[in-house]
Amino acid sequence: MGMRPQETAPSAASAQATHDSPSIEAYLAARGRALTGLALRLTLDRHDAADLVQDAVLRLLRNWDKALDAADTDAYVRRVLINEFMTKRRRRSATELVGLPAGSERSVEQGVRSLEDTVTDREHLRALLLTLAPRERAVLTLRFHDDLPFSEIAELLGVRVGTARSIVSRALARLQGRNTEEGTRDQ
Amino acid sequence: MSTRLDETLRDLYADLEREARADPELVAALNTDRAVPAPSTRHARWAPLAAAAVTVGLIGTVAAVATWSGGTTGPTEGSATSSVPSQTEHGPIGSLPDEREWIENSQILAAHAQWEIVTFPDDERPRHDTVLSGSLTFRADHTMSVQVRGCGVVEGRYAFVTGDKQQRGDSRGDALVAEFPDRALVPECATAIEPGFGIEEPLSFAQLLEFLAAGHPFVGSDPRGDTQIGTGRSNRMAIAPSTSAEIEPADRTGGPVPDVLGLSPGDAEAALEAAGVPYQWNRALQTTGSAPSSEGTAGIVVAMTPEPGARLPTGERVQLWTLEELHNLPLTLD
Repeated sequence: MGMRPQETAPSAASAQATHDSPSIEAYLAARGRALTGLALRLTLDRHDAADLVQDAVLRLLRNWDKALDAADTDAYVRRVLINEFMTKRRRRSATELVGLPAGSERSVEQGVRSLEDTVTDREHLRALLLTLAPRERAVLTLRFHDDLPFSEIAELLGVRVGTARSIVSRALARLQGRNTEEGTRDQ
Repeated sequence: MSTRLDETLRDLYADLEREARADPELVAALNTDRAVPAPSTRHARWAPLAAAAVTVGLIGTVAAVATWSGGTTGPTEGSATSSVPSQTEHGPIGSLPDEREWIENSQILAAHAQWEIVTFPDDERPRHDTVLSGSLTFRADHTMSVQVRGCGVVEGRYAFVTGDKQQRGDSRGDALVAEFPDRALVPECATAIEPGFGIEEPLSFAQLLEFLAAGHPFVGSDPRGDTQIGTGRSNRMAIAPSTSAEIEPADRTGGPVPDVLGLSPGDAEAALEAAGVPYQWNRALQTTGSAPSSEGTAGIVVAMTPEPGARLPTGERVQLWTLEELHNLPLTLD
């Protein structure tokens, strides 16, 4: 959950979670920071991330026994958060106008240009990421932050490995494509 | 794949990771006590703000007894009774029935219904760093008060708020009663929360409808002054004047609410029409209890939801009302 490989290795707390059935509080105290990191990388907004974390915590509270029974509690927890994220985003997209934060449209425009030029402006990239589908955002962070293999990404998202690969490719292509489109329009 | 894009993604994610780990709000979100807050803690938290608050009491006189597990602030306040023993008054959320059970069992729903006034609109929800805050108080006699905590600028708009703002005033069961799209509509916030602002006691739900029909600024501050009523998948019923353009008639057919609340969309429409209150359907109310409109939106939202868990972070176990009961619901100013 938002961890580099070395961080995803089962910690003492995680191991304890599996064998000694610790409370969720103990687990979150030991591992929760990684959860918040994943939430922010998915939502790209600290308030939405806080909401997402709370939603995930609620879900875990109800199903903590399942988390403990899972082969990999960390993976279970991460899956809960990702599912909450995608569910929440789907619900919003189905019923609400989902807009970028105020000023983001301009940021996107700027971001496209920035990608064309240097691809170094993180804030602009952040705005561009907001235009991606939830699943695309999820795979990108799992791939480029957590360095998860496609097999793990596929398992987390409940898709085939090939699908996970194509989602990553498509997401990157979309980011690049926007750049291309914008560049063409500007000519 | 662009290597530069790849690198920038990694850098951005690393930045976000660091940002998240240092963000106190995000860290606080991990607190399970926050997910099921101790009411006494909540009240203590907001107690310093109470002196400046005007309390709007929403006193439920409903027959169906709710399970309330919090909000106790004194010996005269406490939980209502429950007909479902498994629902402990202060039990952890994990002890609640499975979500599916709630949806499938209307009896359980009736006993565990939640009461909430929700932030409105959702997408432009106020942030926790506003001056606005509030809390709900439930009493042993099944009454509840909503304390107005203040008014001010919320996300660039003027507003005043009642209810539990512990979660920072989003749609997570928090309460935002009125939100004004234009300061001109609320010359002075202080005026807005004065007793003379509009609600006199007692104000029945029927009177509230009249209130709406009259275009009173408390509930009809937007130029159109129209009113929305919505029910839907989250089993909420809400009435709100709004400028939201998110009107989709098809939404009228969605959701299990009629079966759960005993309140059909038709009943709701009839009530509003009988009161002469213009209304519109707002699809967003069907899922979040709040509106998505990006334009300035004003309104009072009365929402009920037996939706388990979704808005439990604030801890309220609240009331499920029928429309008839709503009509008899007095609103008072303490």
